[in-house]
Amino acid sequence: MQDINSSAVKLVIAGPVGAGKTTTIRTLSDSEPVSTEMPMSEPAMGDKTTTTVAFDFSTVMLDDGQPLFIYGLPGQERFEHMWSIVLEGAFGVLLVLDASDERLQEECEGWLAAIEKIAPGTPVVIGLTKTDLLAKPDLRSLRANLAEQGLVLPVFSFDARDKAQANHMVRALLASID
Amino acid sequence: MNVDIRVAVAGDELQKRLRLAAGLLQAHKIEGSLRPWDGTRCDCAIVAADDLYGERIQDYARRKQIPVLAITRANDRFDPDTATIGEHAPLNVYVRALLNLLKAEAEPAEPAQATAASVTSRTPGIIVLAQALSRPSSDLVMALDGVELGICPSTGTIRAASSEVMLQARQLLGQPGWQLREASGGALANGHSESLDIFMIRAGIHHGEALPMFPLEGSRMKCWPDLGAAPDLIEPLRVASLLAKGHRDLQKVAGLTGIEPVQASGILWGFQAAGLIVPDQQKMPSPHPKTASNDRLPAAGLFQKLAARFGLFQKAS
Ligand SMILES: Nc1nc2c(ncn2[C@@H]2O[C@H](COP(=O)(O)OP(=O)(O)O)[C@@H](O)[C@H]2O)c(=O)[nH]1
Ligand SMILES: [Mg+2]
Repeated sequence: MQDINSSAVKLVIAGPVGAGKTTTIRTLSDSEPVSTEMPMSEPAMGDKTTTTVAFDFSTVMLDDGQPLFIYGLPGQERFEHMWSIVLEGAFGVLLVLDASDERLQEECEGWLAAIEKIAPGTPVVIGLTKTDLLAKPDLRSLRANLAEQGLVLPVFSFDARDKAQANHMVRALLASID
Repeated sequence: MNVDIRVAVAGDELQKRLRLAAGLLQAHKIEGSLRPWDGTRCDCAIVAADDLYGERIQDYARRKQIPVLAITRANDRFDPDTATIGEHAPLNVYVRALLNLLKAEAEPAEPAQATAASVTSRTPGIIVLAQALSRPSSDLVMALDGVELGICPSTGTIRAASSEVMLQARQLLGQPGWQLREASGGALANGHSESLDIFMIRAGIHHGEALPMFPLEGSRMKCWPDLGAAPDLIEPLRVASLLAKGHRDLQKVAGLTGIEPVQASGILWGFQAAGLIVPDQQKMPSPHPKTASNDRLPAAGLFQKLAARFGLFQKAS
């Protein structure tokens, strides 16, 4: 596996379990994403123990053959200390959230705060999945609440299984940093 | 009131339009049923103006005092004096023609509700709505003759009786005469529903050239439009990104997006009709300018490569 902290072009797909990260990465990728493992030291009971953490990884080839590396940022709390490694040098984060999750608002705020704390200033776009499963889709509350906090960023509802829509999320990210 | 309408014209498109128009008579408390002409008693007949069969039915109907609407290829209008209508006249004109023929008043179904209306006779529908939604608004119904749209700004959805009516309505939003009223509970609750943002942006693009230039100075984008389900809308994405960065000059926004100012203007009318643009005086917390993190930005060449790979500068077809 390539060195995660090299000067590679890096895009991070973040979000809680089940939101649609792996699906998004698969949809964006030319090839099947791999679930890769990374050794992690974690302080536990005063001892240093080593554990491995699994996360999604895939590549997309840019025009001249330069690879874009796409990483899935796993949501489990206990792996938070690996976030800084994954987020290091990423040009942006696509935060994938399940629109049908009752805790959508808290999840969103928690993730945004964590990303801002660990990698301040990283551009973020929010992709809401599974709006097709909602009987009464509310496409606005989350966006309006963020705007009230002065956060004006793309909040798009998309289907992680749809290639054109997943691509459009990356466009939104690029447009917002251009 | 039930009315029995008999049809003696061919063509799937035309039949469909007549069915839609008959359905929209409901807004005027008329249940219209469409059946093929068979020479028996009916409330009105629809025939082709330019064929012999149509002429024969017209003669017969005149003797029996059955009102007849004749469909012509000559124009796209309705002429009440000759009771002819252009085949490709918009849906609302068909509704108006049927009402005229049936001697029914072309009144909104619930005139008492029309108090909240801003009935601005010459203003295109999309601008009437844009003005209403530049302030916080409850749910609205906008109607042109029988064509009705339910606007729900709180959930970001728009409703109509069916997807066909929705499409027709989009084509009519450049026209004046729309009436706006507050929605009474459950208006259009069972119809077809779409994203308000995407619907209005498409309407704005469709009618952009016919609308006045959007007054962008003094306005501010409150939220990004939700374009997730419309990956073909690339230029609106770029226009939104420029507004988010604080651009207020329409010419400049158009230039940076690589489109004509009228197109940018149409997109902006769409944004405002979806409630995304507010007057700037309204003191909302200004967006955090993301702490400049130029070290994070991909180098220019790299950005171009990413943009090319994901189609950011691709022209909408
Ligand atoms: N109905 C629906 N299902 C989706 C959507 N996006 C993702 N899914 C499904 O959600 C499930 C969880 O997705 P996954 O990518 O494994 O989530 P992860 O835990 O974040 O990696 C999968 O079965 C996906 O097919 C969507 O927009 N609509
Ligand atoms: Mg996964």
